[in-house]
Amino acid sequence: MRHLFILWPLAWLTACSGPEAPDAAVCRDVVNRLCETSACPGVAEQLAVDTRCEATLLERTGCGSEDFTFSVPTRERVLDCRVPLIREGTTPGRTPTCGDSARFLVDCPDVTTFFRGEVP
Amino acid sequence: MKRWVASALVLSVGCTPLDMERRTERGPVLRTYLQETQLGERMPFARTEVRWPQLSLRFLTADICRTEQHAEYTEDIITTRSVPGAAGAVSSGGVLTAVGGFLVLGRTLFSNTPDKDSIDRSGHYGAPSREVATTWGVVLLSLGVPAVVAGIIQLHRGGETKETRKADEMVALREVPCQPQPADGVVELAGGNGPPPEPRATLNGTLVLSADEMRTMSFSGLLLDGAPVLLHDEDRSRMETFRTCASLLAAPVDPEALAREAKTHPNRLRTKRELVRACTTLPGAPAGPLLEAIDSALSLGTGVEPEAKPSPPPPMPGTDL
Repeated sequence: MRHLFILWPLAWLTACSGPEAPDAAVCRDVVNRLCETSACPGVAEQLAVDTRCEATLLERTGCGSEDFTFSVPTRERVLDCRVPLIREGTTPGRTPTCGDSARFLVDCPDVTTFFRGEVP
Repeated sequence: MKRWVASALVLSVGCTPLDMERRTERGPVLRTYLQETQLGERMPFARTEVRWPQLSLRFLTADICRTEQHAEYTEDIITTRSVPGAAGAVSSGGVLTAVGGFLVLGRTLFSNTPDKDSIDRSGHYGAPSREVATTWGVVLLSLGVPAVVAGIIQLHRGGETKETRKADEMVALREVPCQPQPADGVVELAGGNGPPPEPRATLNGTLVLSADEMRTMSFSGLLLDGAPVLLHDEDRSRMETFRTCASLLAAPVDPEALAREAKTHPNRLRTKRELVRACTTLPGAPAGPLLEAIDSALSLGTGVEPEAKPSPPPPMPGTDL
């Protein structure tokens, strides 16, 4: 009981968050994190990108438009697959590791296909 | 809501251990007084009186009177209560309350724009600075205010109380026989060698024993109607002296035998002289002729005058009564 009394402010603080981010922002965040690890072995090959990784992926997926919304894969699926990419943190400076990106590509082939510009 | 907060405060404060130290300081003496009580247990005593050739044993019963000397004084009982950590709770709670209050009251100073650089795993932007500040403020207030209140209550509960009361102490105790009354009954002369003498009845609280009887009797204690009789040391010594003198003074004085003893056993004769000299303390005891004959025998036998000055009478052989 005493521990709960101490922990509830912490729970409140961690639950504190802002408004829901639009699909376009979520998509751009995934693109940004994947492209930060494009130099990792296999990442660029599986995503079929060159040195212009970010621009290529935005163009393929349409995330560059503010009106973008997820259909297939769904927003929830993308958020689930994004979890390994934010293991180091959600702030922009926290770059995922090569292992995190590899896990993303292995665990989520449908989302990977989406970023390759193909229909999953 | 208020009831919940009050209950939480009462519980948190009520469970705090309270250190209590109690000490007693003795004050000045108010008065001293004597308290006399009788134990109500009458005991038989005996007094001895000698009028040669008779020993009178006068029997008495007496109560035991107890005299207690008491001193009455004041006593201060000082109780000191303290709660360890109360001051720390007030100071730390005060800091938390101040910071939390500043964050809550000054929340408009912070931006209300969400942190769009960060998207959490559920797809939400990071919380605005204002919301973070408000949350921290509320949390710090919820921790700080109870700590301050609890600390203040604990400080209030601490302190020192002084209780003055009267105290009584017995400083001296004396028990003496009191209210003696003559006692009649059957006296048994017990504790000797061989068959005990026949029990004898007292007359007017007195039993008279002659020197001839004492010489033939063997006893070490007295019983009155079956109860042990107490004898003072002085009376016991007098009774033993009477018994010794009854033997020494019974035989006629024989100067020739004393002269022989002075030559063969001078030390034994000197010891006998001391015993005879003790007989002079008994009123009416005819110890003079024997004492002179022993002195004469000793001066002739050893050529040395016996002690010019009489030494104190030797202690009589003790008898456990």
